[in-house]
Amino acid sequence: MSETLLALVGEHGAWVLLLTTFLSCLALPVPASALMLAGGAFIASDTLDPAETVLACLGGAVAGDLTGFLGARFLSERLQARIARSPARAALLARAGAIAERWGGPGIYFSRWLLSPLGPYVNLALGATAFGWRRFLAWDILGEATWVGLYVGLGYAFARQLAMITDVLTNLSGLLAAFAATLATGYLLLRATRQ
Amino acid sequence: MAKRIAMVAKRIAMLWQRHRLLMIAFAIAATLTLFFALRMVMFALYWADPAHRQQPPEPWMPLRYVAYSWDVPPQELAAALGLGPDARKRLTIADITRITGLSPEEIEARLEALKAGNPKAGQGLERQGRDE
Repeated sequence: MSETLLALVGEHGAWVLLLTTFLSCLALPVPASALMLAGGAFIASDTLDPAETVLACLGGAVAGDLTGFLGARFLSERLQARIARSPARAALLARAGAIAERWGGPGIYFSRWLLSPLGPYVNLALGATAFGWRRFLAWDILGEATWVGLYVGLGYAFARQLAMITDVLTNLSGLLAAFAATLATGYLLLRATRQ
Repeated sequence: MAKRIAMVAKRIAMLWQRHRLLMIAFAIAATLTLFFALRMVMFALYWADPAHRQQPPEPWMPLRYVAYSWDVPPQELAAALGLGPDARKRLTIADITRITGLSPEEIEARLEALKAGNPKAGQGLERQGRDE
């Protein structure tokens, strides 16, 4: 599938990138990182326009994140009355809201690029709490700009070794996300043994 | 020592009783971490070989990208493949195979010839490309 999509980027350019980053921010399994690296390499070889490519990647990603966030907000508002009836659930939601207030900003920023596989779930979780959408959007644009800049930039810099940089970077991204999940669950387990 | 091991085992058993989901999540995350780490080592060994870094032309690659990654001028490559100067900017290797009938292997052979002779023999190849 990846090669078909790569051929489409070569032929149709930025639109394919916009659609791919949009879908990847909704947790759909499309190789957005690999395509952004290719986008950078195609800028280097004068096949794609730099501004068009970067704006398409950024626009698709931010639109995808907002869709997830606002979708979760819409659903949680519908379920609000039902949640309020159960004190245990209401307490859980209040706790989630407090965590979001405290860690939401950096959480959004780093789950856009450093731990990008977690991004779509952060959107849904924050959408379900009362986290403000303007604040979400500001952190989101900052984080996605880092993500797009990093991948398109590395694609540009390593244009001649696209297969290598794609292998290494997509694997590194998986490694970081898995390691972060190991640390988080390990920490919770350790805390549980002490109690 | 044996006492300590027994104590750790007891703790793990207790955790398994009370936090089964969390332990499963931890085991999955740790396994994935190990998997990605081993894969990273494999990639490092594979890509350390410079021969693996020269990218053969593949159907999805645009002509300009192939020219860039092989360090040959795109106009010379287009000419060597028998394409006119008015060829589309985003022509891919698959398109070129369809238009000219050249297989990716033949395209690679011409690339190698072009690169070996570049810049002096580039002119000769250009002519040869047009004759075909």
